[in-house]
Amino acid sequence: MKTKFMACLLISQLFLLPRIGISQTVETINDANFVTFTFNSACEDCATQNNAGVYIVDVPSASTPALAKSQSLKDLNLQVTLKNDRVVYTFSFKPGTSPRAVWRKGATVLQVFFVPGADNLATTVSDGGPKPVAALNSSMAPVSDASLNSPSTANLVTAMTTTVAPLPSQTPNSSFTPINRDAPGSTAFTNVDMSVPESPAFTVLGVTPETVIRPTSPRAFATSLLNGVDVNGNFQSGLAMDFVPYLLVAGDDLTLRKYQTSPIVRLLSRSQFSFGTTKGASEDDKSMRLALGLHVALWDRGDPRLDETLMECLSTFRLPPPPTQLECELLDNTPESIAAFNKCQEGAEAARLQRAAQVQEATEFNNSVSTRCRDEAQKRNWNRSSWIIGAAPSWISTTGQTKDMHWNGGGFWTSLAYGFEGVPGLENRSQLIAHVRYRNREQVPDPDITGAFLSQDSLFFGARFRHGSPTFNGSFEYTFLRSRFAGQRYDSSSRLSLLFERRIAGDTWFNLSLGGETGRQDGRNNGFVLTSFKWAFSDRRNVPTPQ
Amino acid sequence: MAHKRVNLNSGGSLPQVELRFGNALFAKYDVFLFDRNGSNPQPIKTDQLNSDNIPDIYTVGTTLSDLHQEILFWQAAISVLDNQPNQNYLMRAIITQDGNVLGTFDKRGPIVNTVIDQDTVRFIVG
Repeated sequence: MKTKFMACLLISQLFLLPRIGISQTVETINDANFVTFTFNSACEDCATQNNAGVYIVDVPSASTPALAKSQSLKDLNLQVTLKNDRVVYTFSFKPGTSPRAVWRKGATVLQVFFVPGADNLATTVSDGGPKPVAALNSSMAPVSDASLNSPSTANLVTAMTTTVAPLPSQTPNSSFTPINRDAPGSTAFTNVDMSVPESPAFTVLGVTPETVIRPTSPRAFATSLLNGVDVNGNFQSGLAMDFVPYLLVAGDDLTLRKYQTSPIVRLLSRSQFSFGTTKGASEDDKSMRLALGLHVALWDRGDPRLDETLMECLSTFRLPPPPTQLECELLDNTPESIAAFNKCQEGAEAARLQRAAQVQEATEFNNSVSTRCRDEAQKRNWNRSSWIIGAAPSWISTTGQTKDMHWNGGGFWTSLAYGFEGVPGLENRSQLIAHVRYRNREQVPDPDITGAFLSQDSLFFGARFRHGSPTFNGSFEYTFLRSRFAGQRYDSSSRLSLLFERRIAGDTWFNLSLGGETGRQDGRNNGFVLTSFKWAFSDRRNVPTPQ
Repeated sequence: MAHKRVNLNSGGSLPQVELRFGNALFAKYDVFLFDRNGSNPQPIKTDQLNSDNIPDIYTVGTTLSDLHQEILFWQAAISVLDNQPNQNYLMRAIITQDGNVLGTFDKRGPIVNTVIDQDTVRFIVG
């Protein structure tokens, strides 16, 4: 039955391929290779994934789309698989081709482009449609989070002055985080990312480099920089670097006690710089983008180096017994020395083997202790108070020459977390986070013109309170977004949401979620109240249970 | 590989060894003194931690003349404290006599979880 269904589905899709109109795309991107998925309604629960030469589009079976492909796309090997209540479309792509998914028309149209060229990387952009993979790791469009994900959000960008710009520049070797629906916090209402990106430079450039150079010495840093420029002194594309300047120059002298006792040393050690460059995606686009990023943990009560319990746990390490015999040396040519040397050599090999086995045994024990201790520390400190800031200015050179660089906007992030330390009942189970981010001249896809991008300024504020226990989880979230496209007025909207999850019995949970939006210029403020019972084989929660 | 040498002033006082571990990593360590033939280890200090308030400096030997040709051995179990990639460890021993640094001996390398490393130095008095 299932096989028949799949066969019918596949045949129907193939018949539809030549019929679907794709005039808008053809007008804008000539000779582009792409596949278009057209849905009857906004596909809220669709997902895309790039997985080692295979691109996957995962849709609910109730939202089966019509498919079309561009004329220039040859040899499309499409496989359709039914998995429970999902239909999974899988197609392979050639090495050196980078799939790029673009959601359009309020999440009713998905186009997957296959952009040729080694300088491109696989990425996903969205005009407010279903959460694509790239948005999950907040690298492409950090403001397009849950509060922006409703199809109606796309209408925010109507009547904009469009600037046909090249696709955002990319760097090679980007990677995707696989879709994980069972991951804690994966539901639509709890996935607002309120963290400061570890490498703000990559976030501003909209890339997730797979290969990041992390020099650990001044020499390695200098070598990396030299390798990153060409013979004319221009930065090469795809350069991604992440480093802590203080550790580069003073890491050798930084002992644990110095770190623990000096606030200045801690601040310097937690100040991380990132640096990235990207290049235009086509022959016509020689633009080079460059960004610098700074990530500083100004205050962190969850710092493992200050965790006395962790130190106590690690103190159970084992050291092997001292060797019974060190390496033999002939000290001089006296008979006594020669005799001693010969005697030493007799037992040296056995001692060496014994020592190696003892070191191996102790190392295995210590590895297991260290992993356990650090895991426990991570669980213990998950909600500790902290204050982190991040900033990343960026520049662009339309010629690709470093000397022609000029300002191209940037981003600022800050997150302040309070872990209720010393407050009984909340100390280990609750967390309050406030997050602000500002993005200037962020390139976001134009919902109306394929391949065109708009420059957007946005201010986002979010606050979240989470509390969890084995039988009850709750979350309260407020988000505010103020944004405008270049030359337009600001639009502001805010959203409140509440989530409760209560275990009724065994694996049966009662879920209640409610909330709503306010302040939208288009008046499409949505409200929602959802209740459901869930009986689960897995331990998935809509609200992550604090450890 | 031959043991490294450090020359002690015969007119000076007993030498001291200080162990330091760079990049703010955790370490638990031992220090032993071996005889001139590289056997019969005698503990100077064992199971010490770099995370406590106790200075990681120890006086070596009982008389200076007895230290001639003897071998100082130290070993440490070093651990990362977070999951940051590309971490490196540095185990450094600084030998001093009467406040003068006679030698600095480094062992370094990459570390993912834990590492046990060791080093030696032979004393030459005179």
